[in-house]
Amino acid sequence: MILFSVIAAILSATVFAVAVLWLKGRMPVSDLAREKALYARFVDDVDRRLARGQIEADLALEEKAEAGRALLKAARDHNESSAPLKPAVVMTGAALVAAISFGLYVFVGMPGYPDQPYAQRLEAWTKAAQANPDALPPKPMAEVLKARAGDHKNDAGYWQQLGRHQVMAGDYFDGARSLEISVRLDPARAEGWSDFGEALVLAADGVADDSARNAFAEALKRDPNDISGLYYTAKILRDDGRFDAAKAAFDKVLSQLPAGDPRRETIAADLTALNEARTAQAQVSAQIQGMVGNLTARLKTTPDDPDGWARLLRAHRVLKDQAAEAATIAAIRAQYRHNPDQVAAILNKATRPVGSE
Amino acid sequence: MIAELGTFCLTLAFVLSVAQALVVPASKLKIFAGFARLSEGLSLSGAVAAALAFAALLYAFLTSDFSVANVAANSHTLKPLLYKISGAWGSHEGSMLLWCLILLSFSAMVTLLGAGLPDSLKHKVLTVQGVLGAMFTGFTLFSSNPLARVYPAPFEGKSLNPMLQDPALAFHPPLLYLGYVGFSVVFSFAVAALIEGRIDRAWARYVRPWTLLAWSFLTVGITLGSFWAYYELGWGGWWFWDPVENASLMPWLAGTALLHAAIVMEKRDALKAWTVFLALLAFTFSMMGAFLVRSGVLTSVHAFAVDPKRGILLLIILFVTAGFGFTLYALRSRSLSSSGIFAPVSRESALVVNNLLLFAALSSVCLGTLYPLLMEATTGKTISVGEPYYLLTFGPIIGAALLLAPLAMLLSWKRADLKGVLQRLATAFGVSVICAVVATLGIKGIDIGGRVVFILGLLLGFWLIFGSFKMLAERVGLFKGTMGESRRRFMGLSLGIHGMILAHVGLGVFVLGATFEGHARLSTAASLSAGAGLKVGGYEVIFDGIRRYDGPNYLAEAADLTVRRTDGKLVCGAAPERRFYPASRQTMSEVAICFTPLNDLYFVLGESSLDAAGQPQWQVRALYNPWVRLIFVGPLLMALGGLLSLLDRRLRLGVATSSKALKQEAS
Repeated sequence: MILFSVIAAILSATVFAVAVLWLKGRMPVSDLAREKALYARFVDDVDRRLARGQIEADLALEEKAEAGRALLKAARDHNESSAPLKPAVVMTGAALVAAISFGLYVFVGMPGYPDQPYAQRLEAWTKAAQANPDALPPKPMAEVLKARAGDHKNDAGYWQQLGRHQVMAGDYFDGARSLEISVRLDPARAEGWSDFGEALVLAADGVADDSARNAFAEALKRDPNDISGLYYTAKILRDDGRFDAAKAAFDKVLSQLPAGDPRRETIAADLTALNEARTAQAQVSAQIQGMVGNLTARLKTTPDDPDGWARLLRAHRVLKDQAAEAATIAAIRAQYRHNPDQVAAILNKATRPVGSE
Repeated sequence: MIAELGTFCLTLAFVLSVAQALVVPASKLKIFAGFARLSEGLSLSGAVAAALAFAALLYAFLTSDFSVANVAANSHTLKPLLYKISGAWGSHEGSMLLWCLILLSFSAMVTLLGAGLPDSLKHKVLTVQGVLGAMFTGFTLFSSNPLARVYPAPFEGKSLNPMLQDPALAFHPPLLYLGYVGFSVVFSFAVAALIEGRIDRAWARYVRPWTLLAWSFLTVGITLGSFWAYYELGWGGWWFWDPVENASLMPWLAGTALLHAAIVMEKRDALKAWTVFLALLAFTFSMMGAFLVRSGVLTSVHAFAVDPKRGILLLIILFVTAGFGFTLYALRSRSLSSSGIFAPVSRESALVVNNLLLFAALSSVCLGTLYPLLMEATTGKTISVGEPYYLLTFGPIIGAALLLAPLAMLLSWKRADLKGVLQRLATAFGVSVICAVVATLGIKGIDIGGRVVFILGLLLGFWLIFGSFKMLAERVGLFKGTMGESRRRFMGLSLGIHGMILAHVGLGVFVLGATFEGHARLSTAASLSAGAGLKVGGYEVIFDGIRRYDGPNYLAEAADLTVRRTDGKLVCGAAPERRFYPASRQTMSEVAICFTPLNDLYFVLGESSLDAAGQPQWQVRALYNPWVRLIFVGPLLMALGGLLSLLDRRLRLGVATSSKALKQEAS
């Protein structure tokens, strides 16, 4: 605070010095002198323009007369130069301005709160990481690792650590990118693939896209007992409606977890959710089966119904009936063999959720 | 500590502005006699303090100091350097500090360049500037401090809106603010003169350069913003009649009218009341723009999403400032009678009509902008006022003003010979008609009504250009003597005349571009897979494929397009992109443009989908924008004309540089 006050005082003095220098350099000039100078230049300018033929003589005369009248008016209106400034009063005023500013600053500012430039923070985090890495939160740890990633371009383990910390810090997208580099450098480790898949799922707000599914498949290919790979695969199977396979995968995860492991509670909750989903799916499937039957019959009699084909295709996808889905696509292509744009439109429409259009 | 010193400097700037506003009234007291002069020094000190505060903010952005809330909300460690700098004014808080810095710098410029101003007027101008400075720095300090801290500091920033990470937009706000805030000096001159009760030709002479400066910056600022909207937002248009765009157009129109009115006042001691009114109006509209953008009443790509509480504070500043100015104007209206007399047919009359038309155009824009807001506020109903309204109201009025412009340039002061001027301009008009008709010959697909409007628009553009050249030809006596003599006269013309001609030619160039692009633009869109193509405006576009790459702070999907003429000649390669910014989790479209001297081929990459074979394809939109270059070159010529005029000895901001020189001249 003392240092801050001293610097603030120096800054205030510098700012006031600008004003003092200006005022010292300006000799007081009476307004009348200014007006005289202004109109003298004005008349000179009128003469110049007249000489160049830019204005006519009568206009020049009129402008000069106007300037003369204005000058006479100025002579009537103006007083001579203003009174000199009293240095003591000025100094007191300056001190008052500085004091009020400082008082206001204490009210709106955060005195004593230091700057935190990123480079400086990174340096502090690096020291902390070297001294006691466990005490450092994931985000700073990730930043420390990221800053040195250039020195470990070919170290898969380094990238995996970086990716894990980024994921723990909530930077799922960056985490997925780091973990992708890790599996590219060393594709043999199942753990690397399941970490990568997990980051992709988290980056996509819990949805497992094709890349994530592929990552978990790669993990289980290398280690069929990889817990993370098994767990996410179970969730994917549940979301796909393959409940028995999902339950088997969850059971396999449970069998590997020791008693008292907090993760067992999560799996138990997942299994409860799985049973609920199975019940709900059975009810929905019955409804959709009925709709599919009606729709199939209708499309046989009136096949030129792009909306109907899209809905049928979507229904087969919801029911996970791949054979029926393939047959429907073939039927759509046959129906619109002369209109490929229509085929593309139906296929695209079927990929969108109900109601999105 | 630097961030805290920045806040201290902002506090200092606020207190200095308050002091600047108080010293002149205080000098009426005996104890403070002579204190009025202090307002000069205080204006310089205030500007230095504001510059130090802004430098502290820049430092916080450059060093990614996320303990500053504004940096944490608008920056990121991976952001390129240019956008770290422009992030300083990319938010409401930062841009308010920039506004204050420019405002206080203009006050300092009045001190530095106003040696030729009468002291009493200069000190009153500085008083008004001090009041404005106190209000805006106070608002910034107490409700929108860009250097406010956050504890604990986040580990990473949220990054600047990707749409604002663009070179044109990095420079657009400072230039726009130089225009907006530049009008504050004009406002202060008007209020100071009203207080002093002395408004004469000299006053008009003092005000004109400041108006020219602000108007030139505002022109460039609006043009840059329009150019940004054209290539960044991906709709292919350059002006959307968005309320925020209109908010910048209104002070520009008021400033344009003021420039012309001030000429009449300076030359003929006429239109005093009108000129002062416009001087007050231009900055009032500037402040209204600030309110509209920051109050949260508008939803726009240009608007800062700010809470209404701060909007109310800005509204109070607007009402207090404009209210005081216009009340004073009403009280002093009797002293604003003009002595200059002129005939109905004269340059003065033409400029009066020009002013009336500009004011009518300004009113139509103002109505279209504010009516939906007032309606929503009073009835809760929402309506949208768009392009059709402006084309039917603003279009014809401004068209009439453009038709009049070449006539006004050739009419004499006081009393003119209209018939003679019309005869002198007949050739220019004839050539304009021929050019307009010829230019539209090759354009198909426009109905008769549209074609008439098209031809009329082009006619106005050519008329402005050839009319301006006619004036130039007469001034230099082209074909009336030897070429050497004409060249000598050309070189002898004042920079003000050169500037005026360039500005009017620029306006004509803009009108040509806007008319042609508006009527002859072609657009097509298709879903393309690799190897497929589409045709637009006599060009064939082949989609070569999609390329993915990592940018500094984004991931991009770029379409490689090859553009050929129908005869097979390669024109360019274009790569429109879709960029994903992980920090803000936003996807943005990056337009690709094939620049030719006059026309643009403009490409936008859309979303992907599946084709009939289940293969991926991408939506590509292609536009052919003929003569679009003129839309942006024209205003730049206008601004250049304005700045050229500023170099004219008679219009320089600093009429005299030292008191010594003044004394010598006076003696």
